[in-house]
Amino acid sequence: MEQNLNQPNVQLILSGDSQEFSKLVDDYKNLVFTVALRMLKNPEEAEEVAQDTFIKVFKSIKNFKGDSKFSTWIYRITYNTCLDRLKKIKKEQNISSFDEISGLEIANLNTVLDDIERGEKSKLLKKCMELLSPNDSALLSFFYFEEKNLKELSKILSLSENTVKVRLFRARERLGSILKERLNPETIRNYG
Amino acid sequence: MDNQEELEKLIDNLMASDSLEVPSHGFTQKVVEKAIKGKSQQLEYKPLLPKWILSLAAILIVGLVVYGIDLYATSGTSTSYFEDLNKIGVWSSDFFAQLNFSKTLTYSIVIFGLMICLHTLVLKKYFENRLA
Repeated sequence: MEQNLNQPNVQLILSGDSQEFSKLVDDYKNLVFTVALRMLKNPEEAEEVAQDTFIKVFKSIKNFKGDSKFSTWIYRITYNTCLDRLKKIKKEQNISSFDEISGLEIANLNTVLDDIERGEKSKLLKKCMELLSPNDSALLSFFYFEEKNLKELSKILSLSENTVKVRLFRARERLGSILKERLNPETIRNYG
Repeated sequence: MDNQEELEKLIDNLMASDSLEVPSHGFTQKVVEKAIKGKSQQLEYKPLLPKWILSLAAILIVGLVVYGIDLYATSGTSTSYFEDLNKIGVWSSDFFAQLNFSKTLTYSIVIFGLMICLHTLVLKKYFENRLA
């Protein structure tokens, strides 16, 4: 998923230009809210966390050194704010067991997905994301928002690139398994 | 193509249809208002103790010190103010010379001080990273 995001004028925001800050919020609000919603699984909580994230961005924008992409910096704040909220509400990170997914099943699912309309596929993805743990949802979302850049992803999550690769693989496996459960087995068999 | 690549292709296919969620109407306005409100509150510096309490405390401390010097001086035989001050210096050096800490206590205090410095640095870095 490609995002066309403008680099905000940090100096203008620091000088108190509310128009520039409002532009920044407009540019990033959907991304921040999407990540918050996928991690917290609750629209009200997600909106509150998204607001808190932008307040933190406003307060600490003077600390943005420009050694990473601005989006990476905002995602890092979003991720940490969501983790703080999860700790606060003591929501357990739902890591349920999942069935392994075989090569043949993956191939069949791919064929099924190719034939599903984009709108339906989007709905299906949302349902699957709801069942995924907060960390897996965040990891996959950031990976695709950041155009599959492992270096930026490792900066967001404060993890090494190798750890990110391993976690990404596991998150894909879990999402694949949830997808298999969500789709009607009969449909998969018909395509197989 | 192995399983891992097939799985990657499957998730790429699924995520290609990803669309963003939209927050409620007026989200931007709410955030900007909150941020500006927070900033104006930040600029309003309010010391924990008002100036008049600080001034009163300073006057009291100076008064006590002067009273102490006076009391000490009148109990002796000297008449010069500087001699009195010198006596206080001698008394304080004698007092500190009498203090005798065990090695264990000294090392404990030093280690405790070092640990506080270390913790301050670690915590400062942690909070900076969390906000950055």
